[in-house]
Order: sequence, then C-alpha cells, then structure tokens
Amino acid sequence: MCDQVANDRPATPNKSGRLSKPRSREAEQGYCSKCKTVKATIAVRQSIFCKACFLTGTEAKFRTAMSKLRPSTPPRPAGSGSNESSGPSGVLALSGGCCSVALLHLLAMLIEQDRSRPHAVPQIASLAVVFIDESEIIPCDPAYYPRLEALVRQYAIPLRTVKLSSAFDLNTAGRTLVVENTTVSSTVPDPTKSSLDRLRAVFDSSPSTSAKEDLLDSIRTHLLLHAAQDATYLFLGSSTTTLANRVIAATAKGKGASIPRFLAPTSAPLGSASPTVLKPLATFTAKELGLFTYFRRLDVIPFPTLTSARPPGLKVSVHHITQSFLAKLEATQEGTVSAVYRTAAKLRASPTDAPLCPLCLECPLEPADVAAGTRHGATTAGHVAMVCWGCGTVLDELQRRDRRGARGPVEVPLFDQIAEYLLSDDDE
Amino acid sequence: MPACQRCTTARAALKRPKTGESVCKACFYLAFETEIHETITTNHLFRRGEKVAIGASGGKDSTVLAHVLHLLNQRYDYGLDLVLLSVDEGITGYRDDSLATVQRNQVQYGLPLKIVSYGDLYGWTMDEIVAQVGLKNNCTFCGVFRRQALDRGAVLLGVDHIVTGHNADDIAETVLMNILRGDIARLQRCTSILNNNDGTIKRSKPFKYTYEKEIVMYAYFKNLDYFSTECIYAPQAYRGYARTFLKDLEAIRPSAILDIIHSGEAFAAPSDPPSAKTTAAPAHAHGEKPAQRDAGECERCGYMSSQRVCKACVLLEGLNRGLPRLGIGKTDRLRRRHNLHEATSPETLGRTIEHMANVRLEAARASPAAAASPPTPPPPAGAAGVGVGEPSTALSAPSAAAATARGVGVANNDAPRLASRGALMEL
Amino acid sequence: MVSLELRFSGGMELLFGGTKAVTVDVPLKAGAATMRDLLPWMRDHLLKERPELFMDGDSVRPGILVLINDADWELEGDLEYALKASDEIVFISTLHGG
Repeated sequence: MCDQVANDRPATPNKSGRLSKPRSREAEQGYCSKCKTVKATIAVRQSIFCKACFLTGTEAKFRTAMSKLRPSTPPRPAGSGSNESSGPSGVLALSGGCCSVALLHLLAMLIEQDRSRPHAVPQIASLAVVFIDESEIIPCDPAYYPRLEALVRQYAIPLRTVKLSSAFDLNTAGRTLVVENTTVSSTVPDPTKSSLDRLRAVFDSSPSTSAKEDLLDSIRTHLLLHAAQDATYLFLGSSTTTLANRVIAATAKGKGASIPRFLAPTSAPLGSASPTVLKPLATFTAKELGLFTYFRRLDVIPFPTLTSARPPGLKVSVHHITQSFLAKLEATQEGTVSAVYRTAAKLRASPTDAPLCPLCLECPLEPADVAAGTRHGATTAGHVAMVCWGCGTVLDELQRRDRRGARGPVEVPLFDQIAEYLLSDDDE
Repeated sequence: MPACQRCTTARAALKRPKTGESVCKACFYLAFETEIHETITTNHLFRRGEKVAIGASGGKDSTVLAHVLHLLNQRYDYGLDLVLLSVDEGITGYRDDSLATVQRNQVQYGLPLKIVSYGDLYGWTMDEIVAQVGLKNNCTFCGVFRRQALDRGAVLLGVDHIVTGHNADDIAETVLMNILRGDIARLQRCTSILNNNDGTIKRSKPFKYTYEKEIVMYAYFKNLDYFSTECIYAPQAYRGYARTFLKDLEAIRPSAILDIIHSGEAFAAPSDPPSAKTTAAPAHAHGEKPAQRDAGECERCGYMSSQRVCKACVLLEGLNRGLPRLGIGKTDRLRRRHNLHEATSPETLGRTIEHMANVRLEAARASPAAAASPPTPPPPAGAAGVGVGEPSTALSAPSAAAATARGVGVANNDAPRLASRGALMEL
Repeated sequence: MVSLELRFSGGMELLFGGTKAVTVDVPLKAGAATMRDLLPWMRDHLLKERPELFMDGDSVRPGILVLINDADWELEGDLEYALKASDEIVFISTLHGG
C-alpha cells in the first residue's frame, strides 16, 4: 500500500538515470556576500564569495570551530611524551587527502598565531603528525613518502609513520589484545608468525571488501589512539562529507547506535584514560576543503584506498556505494550532505552502561544472542563474541568463508579470528 | 540441486534472500510463516478476541498478509476476528484492478470486506485531485486522506486494530529517506512496529522483518492472487534514489535491510524533548489564537487532531475553494490571508467530511452488540470542538453473521458507485 | 584551435598520467566551443585511466570540482561556459577524502 506523504520533488535525472547537466548557479552571480565589493567567484553552501574572502572566511571559521571545541570532560594533562612548553599537546592523523592536509595547515597556522600572542591562552601548544602506512595491504607509489615528508617539514612538525602490522606486535605477555571488561578469546597468538603474517592472514580470510574496510577502520582507530596515548588531543580531519558518508554507511551496516558517538565533535572512545578526539572540520564540506588546499598550493597526496580506483557505478563495498550515492545526490541537490549531517547530529546516544565494542570502539555492546539471532533468523552456535551488531556481521563474513571448508561446515570461534590484532596498551 | 539445508531430505528449491540458505519449498513456507508468528508474539501485537482490519490494496504485501494472518490465526489460535479493509482512492485503471483482486481475496479467504472511497468520503477522487493540484503535492493529499479513510472504515467496522503490509524493504527505505530529507521526527518513529499513541486506531506492521523478495517468492510459489503495479501518480524522485541505493547494498550484503532497520531502532531512543506540536503555543502578540493543543478533535469532522481543524479538512477546503496550496507548506500564512481562523459559511467551505460521531452512530447501529454509551451528536458549526464520547471499545466481537452482512452489503454498493464515478469523469 | 592551461589536483592527476599541469591546443573554436565540448575531447585524447572515473554522462563525476580562471564553474555557466584562449581550467578531486 502506498504510504508516501509529502514527497519532495528534487530535480529528476534524465531517463538514463545519469546527470546530464550540473546544477547551475549562474543566476546567483553577483558580489561577494562578505565584502560586497568584489565579484563573487566561489559558490559554497548557499553563499557566494570572492576568492580572498573565501580563504579568510575559511580560516576564521576554523578558529571559531576550534574555540568551540570544549571537551565535555577536562582533558588529561599531557603525558611524558610531550616535550613542548606547557599546554595541551595534539596528534594529528594525516592521510594525505585534502581534508587532513587542510587541517594540518590550519592547525599549524593557529598554533603560530597563538604563539605570537603572548596573552592568549594556547588552545594547543604542540603538535605532532601521525601517518598510518597502509602499503602492506594497499600498495602505493613509493614517491608519495618523500612528498609527505616534505609537506610536513614545511611546518616544522615531527612526522611519525606507523605501519599497519604494528597492530599485531606482541607485548611482553605474548598478547596483542588488552581491552578491559570484554569477553576475550583464549587463543594465544602464535609467536613464531610475524606481525605482517598475522595482518595478512586476517585480511586474506575476509571475502568481502566491506569487511576489509571495516577491519582497516578498526585497526586504524586502535593505532591512532595508541599513537596519541600521551597527547591531550587526537585531531581527525573528518569533513561534513566524510561524516555524512559515515552516517549512511553506519546505518546500512546496522551501526546506527554509533552515530551520536562518532558525530560528536569531541569524544573519548577509551574513556578518561585516552586522548580526546576532536573533529574541527566537521562543519566544512569536502568542496570547501578541496578549494582551500588548492588555493593555498598545498600538496594533496592521493594515497589509494581499497576502492579509490574502482568505478563509481560498481557495487564494490558499502562505503563505495554510499560515497557514490551521496556525491550524486549532492551534485543535484546541493546541501544534501549538510542535511544528513545536521539531521544525524540531532540524534542522542541512549544512555547505556554497556561497554563499547572492542573492535570498532563505536557501538555499545548488545547481547550476543540478539545480535546474532535477529540478524539472520537463526542463532549462531558456538563461540559468539561480545561485539556490536555491525562488527558481528563482519565476523560472520569471516566465519562464512571458513564454513565452506572442504569437509563441510566448520565451527570456527569467531572472535579468535581477529582477537590477535587488537592492540595492547603496554603501560596497562 | 543440493539438499535443503533445513530438513536435509527434500531437494532445495530456492535460496532465501534473507539468510542465503538453500531450502525446499515446505521449509521456506514454514520458516517464512514462523518468523512472522515470532514477530507477532515477541512484540505482543494482538490480544485475544481483537477485531483486526487488514489494510488490503490487492497488492502482493496485503494479499500475502491476509493469507498468512488468516493461516496463523488458525494454526496458533490467536482468536482474532479478521476483516479486509480497502481504500478506493479513485484512480482509474490502477485502483479498479486492484480492488477486483481484493474482492477475489474476500472470497478466497472467506473474510468480510469493506471498501471506503475518497469519492464517498470527501467528494473528490484522486483523479480529480490530480487534475486540480497537479503532480507536485498529490501524495500529501493521498497520504492524509488515506489515513482518515482507513480510520473511518475501521470505526465503521468496529475494529480495534489495523494491520498493514509494510515490509522490511519499505521500512529500510523510509529510514534512509528520513535521514536524507532531514526529518528527525519521522526518523525516530518509523521503525516502531506498533503505533498506538496518537489517538487514531492502533496500527501495526507484522511484516516489519519480512523481506519483499520473500513475500514475492511466497506469493509466487503459493500461487496467490495479487495485482502488481506502481501507483501511476507516485513521483519516485527521492524514493527512486534511495531504492536504487538499497538494492545496491542488498546485492553485496543481503542483511543490509535488517541492518538498516536495526539502525533505525537505535535512532528511536526517546531522549529528545516532546515535539512542539503537542505543547500549546502562547497567544501571539498579534492577537492570533493559539492553533495547537494536545490530542483534541477537529471541530469540523471530529477526527483526532492536535490542530483546531484537521489536516484533511484543511486540504479538502483548499480543494473546494480552488486553493490547492492550502495546507501545503506555509499553512498559517495562507490561512491568515484568507481568514480561515474565522468560521466560514457552509457555502464557501463546500462539502465537509462527515462527522466522526455519525460514523460511530452508524457503526453502533450496524452491530447487534451495541455500544454501552450512546455517542453524542455533532456540535453546531463554528463552536469550539466538543469532546465526543468514545464508543465503548468493549464491543465484543460482533457475530460473524453481522460482519459478513456488512461486508456483503458494501460490496453490493460497488456497482452503483462505480457508475457514478464514471459519470463524474465525463464532466 | 584554442589554447588552454589544464591543471589537475587532489588525485585527478592520476587519471592523466600523473600530469599536474599541461597546456593543450584543443581543436575547438574559441568563443563557440564550450566545456561540454572540452570534456569529451579530454576523455578521448588525454585520459590515461578509466573514463568513468572522470566523467558521468555529459559532466564530470560527482565529487570533482572545476575552476575556470580560479572561479567556480557553477558561477560561470558550467557546461555551457564558452572557452577563451589561455583559459586556465582546474580539476580537483575531493574523493580521496580525509
């Protein structure tokens, strides 16, 4: 039965379903909304600006965003890793893309400005950059590394590169996993295998690109939190566009419960004993940041992702389909991405004592039988790990692969498959 | 063909879209039906003795719903009194055929049938509405009018509960649409399986976790009679995008539909303050009367409304007065400009919707087990809405004979109604 | 023939053999040829990688920004903008994200 009420009718694509004409804002030509004296040449977010005002406006907007980021819990004092003058220290996660490069530039600029103002209380006193090297799983052009180093060197900020396989290094107890209050498997990682072997084994065992992406996200999160463990803040360059993509992708993966947490401009995934995660670019669209990095002549280094070389129409992974879907909507209905972000930002996390999923650190844990039972209409027998619904699907995909073993269905403890890769905190 | 993964004896006939299992037909039917039964019991959808109307459009969802509910009612002895309730929006071609299907369902399942039509209720068919307002906001009209039509039909039948065939794909699509459109209020409500809190008849969706593909397969294998065409007036614009996205997701991850519903359930955490609609607005500085109040009644037709005049009456007035944008978008500004806060004369107002009190009166007369307290007559036009006494819901299930008589009685009226609609179209 | 300066940034250069900037003489009529003509020409003569990563229908793939002489092409008429000699056209990809 048709139940459509109040359907809006945005511009419909032509019969082939493809865009033949981008939306034109020629009708909006006029003077810059800010200075009102120079002809506007840039159109972002329902406004038009001249190039100069766009640039200064972006910088001012960043300063305002930073000043509004007051973490809900007082930040930890900087740990022993900080050797700059007293004040909060930050670690910035740099991926080489336009958003994190813009963040590096804007943050470095802010620190410089604060230093030259003796009376200002510095919001952040020192900064270091962390780059997660994914080449063990996704090979890249080796020429990118010197470019990255050159980029960061301009700001006289230390750069630390962390390889994916380091997530599988064993601590002195022979474990890679230390997460409190969580059901853990009893498997002890094989000490004769190298970290790289363990990394590759986990990725090879995953049949789907979506599962690989989720695993990669989890490993990256753990590595970043670990790298920033002595700092006050961990800065992420997530833009409105990135976050809107994550909202839809999270919804599609059954991780709707995680949305209030990852959308919050400040968060502390590991509680008070961890850096506060800040996302100062949450209100900037990818377009704004793409233009900013171009105009400021900043080198954007396109490290490949699992799906960046795949055509937009292919159904490669949840993230890939989502990115194409939202990019297309945004092209016909500008403001879609902001609308998704604003809507999702109104969602409130339901108060819960449940600990966060140890894999993704985003969703609260749910009773395992509910997560498994309702999802597939049948309970998964055997060892069902305490993970969130979304990660449960990832584990199921791992298990399904082994289920097709030569001798018929094989009962594989789910959690043991990935237990090895969760990082330990050496000082725990 | 491998063996069925469930019974391991019969040959597998299909692969379940929901779980990827290869199963034989018998196991598929059983799994399909049992999962719906579990949804019904886990969520306590029904009470024994309840009279339940199945929203029947003749399409696959409602046909399978009628079939399965009828079956489960017998198999598990729910003790329900089931009836079919159909809405005739007056869309030539589309609705004629699907109504014919519903009438066949009535015979096939031995269930009484009531058809309520826009033409009878409002004096306007969808064909006429679209001719007047065009294709931009026609779905708003249809959605509002259908809601009232179902409720009125339900009151006439004396039912306590309406079930609709919304399936998992519908709900997943609605979750996505509400995020894209920025409708946080709807987003937080759209995954609830039971809706019993806004004064209208209780509604539920037993197919909430049932995949559309499986409904189609069930209907196909069981040779169920259904009519499948999209509404010719449905725009498909935004929904088209969301639907394609959903299908793409499902192609790589069959559980995506359930995953999205699971996410939607997480959004429903009730921690936001009550919506502005239910709080009384203070009197405006310009002397306007506050237009909102809690769960009251429309002063024209008596339907549940938090506004002084319900949405359907506003839309209808717009149609009658040649103001097709009345009730759409900037409602208040248009209302103020046309002095709609003042009582308008019956001539300008045009035909109004029959008052709910009369509907209840009719229902009480039709049922031999009459209401305990007689309903009060409608208030005179222009006066503030007076609360009408609710007919007692302790109506015991009317005798099967009376229910069937009602159904048969209405079905016989179809012939003259169709003729009159045909006459209208010639004007 | 119209001479144009084309620039590629944000990862776009990957589609054009790593080139970040190139001057081209395009066999189109200055003042008459538009962006709508330029894009397919680029796809057929310059593109080294899959065309679906550059174009979608008549226009660029969603997520690619286009600047004409440092101005947003949406304010210059986008596909209908008439090319002039020595125009600088920049293609910026935002799809390599954060």
